[in-house]
Amino acid sequence: MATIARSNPFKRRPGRIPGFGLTLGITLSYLSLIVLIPLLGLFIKTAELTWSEFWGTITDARVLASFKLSLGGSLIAALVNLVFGFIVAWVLVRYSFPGRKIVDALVDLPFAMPTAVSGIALTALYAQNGWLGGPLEGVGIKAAFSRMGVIIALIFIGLPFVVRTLQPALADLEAEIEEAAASLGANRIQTLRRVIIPAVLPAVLTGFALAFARAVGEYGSVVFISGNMPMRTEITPLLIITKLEQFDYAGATAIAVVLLVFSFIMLLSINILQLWSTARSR
Amino acid sequence: MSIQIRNVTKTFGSFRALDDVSADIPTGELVALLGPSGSGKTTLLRLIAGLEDLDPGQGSIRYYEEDITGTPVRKRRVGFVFQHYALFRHMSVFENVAFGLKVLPRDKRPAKPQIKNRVHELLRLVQLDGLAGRFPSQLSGGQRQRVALARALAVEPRVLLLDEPFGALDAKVRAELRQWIRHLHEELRITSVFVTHDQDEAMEIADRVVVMSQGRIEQIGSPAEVYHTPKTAFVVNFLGQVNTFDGRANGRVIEFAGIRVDVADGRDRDGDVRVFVRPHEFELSRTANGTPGLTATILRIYAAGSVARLDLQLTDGRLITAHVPQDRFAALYASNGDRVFASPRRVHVF
Amino acid sequence: MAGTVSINLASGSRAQAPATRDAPIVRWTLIAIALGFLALFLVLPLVVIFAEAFREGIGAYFASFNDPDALAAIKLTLLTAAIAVPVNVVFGVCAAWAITKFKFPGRSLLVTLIDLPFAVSPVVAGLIFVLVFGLQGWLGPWLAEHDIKVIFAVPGIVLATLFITFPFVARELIPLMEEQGTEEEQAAMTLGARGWTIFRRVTLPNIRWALLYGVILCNARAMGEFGAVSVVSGHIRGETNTLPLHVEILYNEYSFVAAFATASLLAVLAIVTLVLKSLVEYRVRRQIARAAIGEESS
Repeated sequence: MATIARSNPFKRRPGRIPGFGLTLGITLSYLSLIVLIPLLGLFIKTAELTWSEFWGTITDARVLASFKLSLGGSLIAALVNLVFGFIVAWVLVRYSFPGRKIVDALVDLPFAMPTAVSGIALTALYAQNGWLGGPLEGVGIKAAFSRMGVIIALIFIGLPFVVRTLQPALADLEAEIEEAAASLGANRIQTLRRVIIPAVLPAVLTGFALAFARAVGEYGSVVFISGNMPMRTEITPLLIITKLEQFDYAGATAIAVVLLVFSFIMLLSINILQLWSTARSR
Repeated sequence: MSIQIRNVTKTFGSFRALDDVSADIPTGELVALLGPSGSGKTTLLRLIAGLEDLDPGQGSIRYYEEDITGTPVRKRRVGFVFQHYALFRHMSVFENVAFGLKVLPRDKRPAKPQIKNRVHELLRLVQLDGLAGRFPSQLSGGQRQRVALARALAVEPRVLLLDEPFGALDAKVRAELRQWIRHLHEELRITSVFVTHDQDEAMEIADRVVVMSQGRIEQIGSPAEVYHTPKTAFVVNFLGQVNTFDGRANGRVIEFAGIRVDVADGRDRDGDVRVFVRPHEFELSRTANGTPGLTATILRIYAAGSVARLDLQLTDGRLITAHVPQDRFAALYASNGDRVFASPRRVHVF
Repeated sequence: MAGTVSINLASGSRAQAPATRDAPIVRWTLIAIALGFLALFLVLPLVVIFAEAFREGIGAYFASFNDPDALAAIKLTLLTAAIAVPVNVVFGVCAAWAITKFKFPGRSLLVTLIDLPFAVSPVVAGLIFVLVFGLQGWLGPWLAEHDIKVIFAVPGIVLATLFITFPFVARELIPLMEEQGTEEEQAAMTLGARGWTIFRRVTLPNIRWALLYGVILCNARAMGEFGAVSVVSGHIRGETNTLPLHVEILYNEYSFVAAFATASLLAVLAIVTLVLKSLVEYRVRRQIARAAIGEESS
């Protein structure tokens, strides 16, 4: 009996830190009320649809086009961020230059800035008469109100994820492993390719996945710059809102479920990536 | 000479880590850089490897007569073994050892089967042939250090440099690995330099010991030389236990603790000096026997071990330590509180 | 979603030995690429907000705020944050306490669930509340009967904001409290302290910077949330418009100066957030480092 009592964590015992029941109770109740039950509502609402209704909704040409844009654009944006985010993280961790601290703080701007503000700012910048849109128009590139605009907004929104995931990984890299590589005859490129990148690979992939996942669900910063033309520059979250405004609750729900399932898959992959990274750093 | 170090100075900011250091490392020897932390031994090793830059214009380092002062580490062909192994975590043991061969320029890179043979040969040498597929996290500390050694040897280094190679290991593994390194050195005869702060380690396996303190070299010599004929007060102090006295010199006669002894090193001294006597350099007797001896009372006897160790109190209250072979100690018939005479057979004066 | 906005623990650049140092040309090229990229994607958008806001002079800028709808939007935004932040602080502290001071089955699942709102698209977050509280939702008929409006009203905005800002405080506290362990609390207990006293006198001083950090991030998001709030708000001017929604309305009406003037308020909020964040980050970093050292030496 005694051993059973000891192994039961819910049993209140003298000599233990108090507050377990209270804090866990509050946590679970609040979590259920605000997060779990409303999310469950989404699935229950979907269950009211027949399979063919559901399938019909999400395979509608306009919906498919939005999936393609949201996923494709997010993928391109995350890839761009992977390259430039790596360079930014490397520069911030490895080099010292005047203003480094300010630049470091600035990387979080897309987190801190309300997405609607980012959205109109990017639009003003890349529109035909904008500071960057004008010159780009001159060389035949239409930045705002095109797929390019969507990608620009998604790059903006995803950048901090890659940089902030890579920075600690690069900082934790022991100088000795680079020195070991150099003493074995590797040049800087070989060291980067064979030692540094593989060593921070879990962080690279995590940052990529975070940026990608965030971009697929992003709404505020995209809707202003995208132009929202059905079949061409309409992202999936916007389509959900459009359906809602047309009181097509079933359609909105079906599309939302697809997005949500995608989010869960990304969340799962990111957790697996982090397990991998802690397992390796042992 | 494999390595010639000439007038090397190295500063980090305002801290002078090495101050005008010169030394020669003879070909094929195993040399220890010995000193307390902050003595500059690791900095010297890293300078030899090329992992630190020499201060501009401050000295030179040559390998086999070739000035390599400006040569980057990757072109020096050194094997470097790090204190914390610095194995590549994402590579298997095999890939770690093969790394140096795989990054060779294409025209010098051996073919795949040759790399494979060479790696397995090295793993056999370090007795890890069965573990080629393991990852570093699956190995013990001693095994990791041997992988690090095999990896360093793979590039056929001109010199092998080891930074506190046993520092991160527990005492038993350390003792085994020490012997094993010595045997390996005898087999391979690669000029090797290792850093240590443990004088037993240096004395046990090195052909030659470089004793360092505060960025300077105190003495270079064989283990026996530095132990028996230390050149500075620091060396006497650092290499094992020693009793210290203040004394006065007058020509070849030294006066300390109420006795006068002749110093037979052929040098004349005058004025205040420091006098050092190692515990085993005291001859103990129950009665004054004509040789100058310190009168002392036995405070405590540690009789276990290969020698008997005695804490003695001099008449002026100072404490000294003496080591006496067990048979001599038995012949003394001494116990706590007895009075003895301690005659130094040999003194070191600085 | 793990890693989203957690504390940036990377320290300053390190002393460079030759083998880890890049050639000056490489160094300056990379710095130029990084700074160019950041200038293009971060600095210019920030600058353009103020340029557009002041395009017609300072007078026009301030005139934009002389609008009852703008003032109502500011009030609603402050109200929303004033509810969401304290509620999530209480929840965050409770969750971190339960998760870090006790071991229980399902602990890591709970940590993942707390991160869930980060993974959900803001639009989906808004939608789920419409599905629960909207006219066609579960509780819709009952709410209509009792004349309670949640969706297209302030309660809906608060609920959506609570959901979106839910993880911020908890996820800043959990790693720090995990690192600090339970020894100090246990010591306090042996000295006779009770629950609330232990928290106030022992735990709180140890976590106050991380808590502040979480509050700063939570507040920024609560005031700035757009997508989720947009779905539940109904966009009724002067009633259910928060500042970000007001920006959208003005922009869509082509009142660009007013839109950017309002946006500039939010941009200032973002800059203040970044400054506070950098200041507090340093403290949190020190505290985590100290906790880690304490663990090693004990």
